[in-house]
Amino acid sequence: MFSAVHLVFAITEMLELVLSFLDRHDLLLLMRTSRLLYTTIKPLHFRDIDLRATPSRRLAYSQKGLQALTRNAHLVKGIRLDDKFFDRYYDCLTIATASGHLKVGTTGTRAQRKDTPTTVNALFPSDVNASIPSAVNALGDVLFPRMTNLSRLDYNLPAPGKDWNNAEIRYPMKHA
Amino acid sequence: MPVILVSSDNQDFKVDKEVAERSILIKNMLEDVGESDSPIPLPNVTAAVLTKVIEYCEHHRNDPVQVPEETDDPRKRSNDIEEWDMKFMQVDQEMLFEIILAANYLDIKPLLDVGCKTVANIIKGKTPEEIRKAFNIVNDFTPEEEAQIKKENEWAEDR
Repeated sequence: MFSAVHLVFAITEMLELVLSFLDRHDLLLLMRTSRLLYTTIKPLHFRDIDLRATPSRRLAYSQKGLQALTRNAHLVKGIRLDDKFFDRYYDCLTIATASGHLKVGTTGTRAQRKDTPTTVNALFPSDVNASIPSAVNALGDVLFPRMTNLSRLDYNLPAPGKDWNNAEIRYPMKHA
Repeated sequence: MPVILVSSDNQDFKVDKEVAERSILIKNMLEDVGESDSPIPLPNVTAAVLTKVIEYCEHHRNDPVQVPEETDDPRKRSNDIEEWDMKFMQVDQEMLFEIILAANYLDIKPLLDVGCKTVANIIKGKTPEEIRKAFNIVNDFTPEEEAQIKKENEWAEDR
């Protein structure tokens, strides 16, 4: 027989309510405890992101973070960007569309569309690399894929101040 | 007017209607049935848990009805638990989770929130191993998977 503890953790809606009171760092640690928690938490981890706030800012402005965001772009439903990352995202989409890697209007998740490049310049034809705008190169070699499940995009927002640690908590997102 | 609630182990609890109606489930039942002296069976709640739930509802009988938040986003604060509620939640872990399940079943949103906040506060600041120990969670990752997940999330490791 299941204990009440395991029942609460096994009911997704209940677990999500508990998780809603945890910050990104604690979610990450909880995610590493079991498969069940990993599969429940991972989508939440990337669902709403404010790339101007710490630690989410590292998703955009560190190599490891950007690679993680790239791998999980299909999980992002709401995102807030500063103008720098918005330019980068726009450039990546333009490049991918121009090179035929991303067909405008196609749908589906990354898991279904393995042809979409998500990793590095090396996978790109050299002529495409040559045309990559400086804004993209300046931020690393990761080509950012289209966020196929995005329902909210706030861009050109002011840059964060010093007190933006965990700002996602103070400025929760609303979805359309 | 008092209402009689019957726990899963067949104990009767006589409570004021306004106290019972802190539960949206009971409130809706009473509205559907109209004026009636019939006891209300609560087959998912034991007497021990119902005692605690009633204690909570008695204390909060005059609280304004909680308006649902406009946002559906996630991350909310857990450090705003009232002192009385904090003491109320100082129970053993099984009871804490039983209260959460009862609050969910009875649809008592403020109690559900305070229960989930309490659990969140237990989780906060703990390592994965400490969390497993606290909630008796079995680590079913292979060592390779564990290492991979840790590696994948290095970007967020530091606060």
